[in-house]
Amino acid sequence: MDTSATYYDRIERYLRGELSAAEQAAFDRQLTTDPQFAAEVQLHRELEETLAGENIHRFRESLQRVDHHWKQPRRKRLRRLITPWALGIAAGFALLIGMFGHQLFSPNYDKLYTAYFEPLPIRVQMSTETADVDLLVEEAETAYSRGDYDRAIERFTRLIERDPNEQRYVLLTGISQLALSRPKAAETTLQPLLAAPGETAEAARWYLAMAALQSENIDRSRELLTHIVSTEGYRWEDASELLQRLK
Amino acid sequence: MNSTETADQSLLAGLRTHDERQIKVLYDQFLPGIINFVCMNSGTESDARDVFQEALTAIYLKVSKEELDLTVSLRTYLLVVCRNLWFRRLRKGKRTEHHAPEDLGKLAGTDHIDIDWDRQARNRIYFRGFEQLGEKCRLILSCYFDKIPVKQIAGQLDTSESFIKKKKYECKKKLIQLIHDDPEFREFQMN
Repeated sequence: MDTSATYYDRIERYLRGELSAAEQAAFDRQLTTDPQFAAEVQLHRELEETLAGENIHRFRESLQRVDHHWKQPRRKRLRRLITPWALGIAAGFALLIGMFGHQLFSPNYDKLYTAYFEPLPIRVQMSTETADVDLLVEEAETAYSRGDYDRAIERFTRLIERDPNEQRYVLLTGISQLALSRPKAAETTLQPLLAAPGETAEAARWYLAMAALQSENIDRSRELLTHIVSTEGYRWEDASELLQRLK
Repeated sequence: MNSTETADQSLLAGLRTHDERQIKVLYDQFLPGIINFVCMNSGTESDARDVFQEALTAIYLKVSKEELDLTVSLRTYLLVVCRNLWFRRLRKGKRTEHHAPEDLGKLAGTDHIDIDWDRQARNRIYFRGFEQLGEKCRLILSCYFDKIPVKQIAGQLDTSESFIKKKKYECKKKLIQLIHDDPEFREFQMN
């Protein structure tokens, strides 16, 4: 590969339309006969197009600054549970605890559920299907991703009717029910998925733990979370953290 | 224009002006979903952040050239772009047996997403090389690529034109060397 200043200068003058007619003709000939040369010219052209101007670089610096300081919002929500004002009235709580006993030690399950639950982002449909099924998939996924869970459940149910073996839609139905605060229905939907292979069962176990937490069936939630941690299943680090908070 | 469209346009305006508060809103609203998706598909949070930055850069380039015609929600658009970017990386790295269809956009109802995915991947390599250069090299090259006359660059940096020409050549040579040494670029050359 030629890296001389003359070589670079020739390419740059070509890109800027500054070659003489004879130079241009020779350049064009080389482009068609020498693939390595053509690739180098393309590289020079793309570098100019992509890296020109300060704005794109300032933008990327901003992006990297935000990325550097960004933490998952869930953790922020958890931190909000112990804000300074809460610490400020801790003494008051201590007095109440002394008066009313251990029942005040119960964690706020609703807040824990809110902190840990988030719908599974829908995954790409990988099978090949007929056109009308694709449309139904699109409607179901769109409704789900927009948080229109009633519509999503209705569409997923139709998809399951067409193909009862499609466990992904069963999983998304259960999650939609959970998002609509219907933990019992979610448990009924998700429970059979524990026998499914691989990651579907793992995800179902996590959402079953969420359903148990939402219905304040803490022993069941602990049992599921313990399994997730011991097998390093889906979201096992979150499961471990949540397990500590439920103790 | 409904409330989602208004919010999306506000976020895109923030992106165009590098407003870090709005970029943070984009992170808060959309990155957790991307992290979940990537982690469910053989990746890590770090992979997800990388893909998300790449998607935002692609969108920024489109927005700044006024080439982005958003006909779906920004959430859907970002999700499809990130999915595409991630599955392409998986395929290249052969990190999984997953084989995403080529036309992911069509399946998500956003088949009009107009991104040259190979070029997008090469841009990633170009940025990676460029960001390894020193500050002066980055400034000289970005000005030169922007077709600012050498005389004007020399004036800005209070130096001579001959120094800028020499430095520009050295910096570009270094950049091209970094790109050629990048394993991902080598993969492109082999394909």
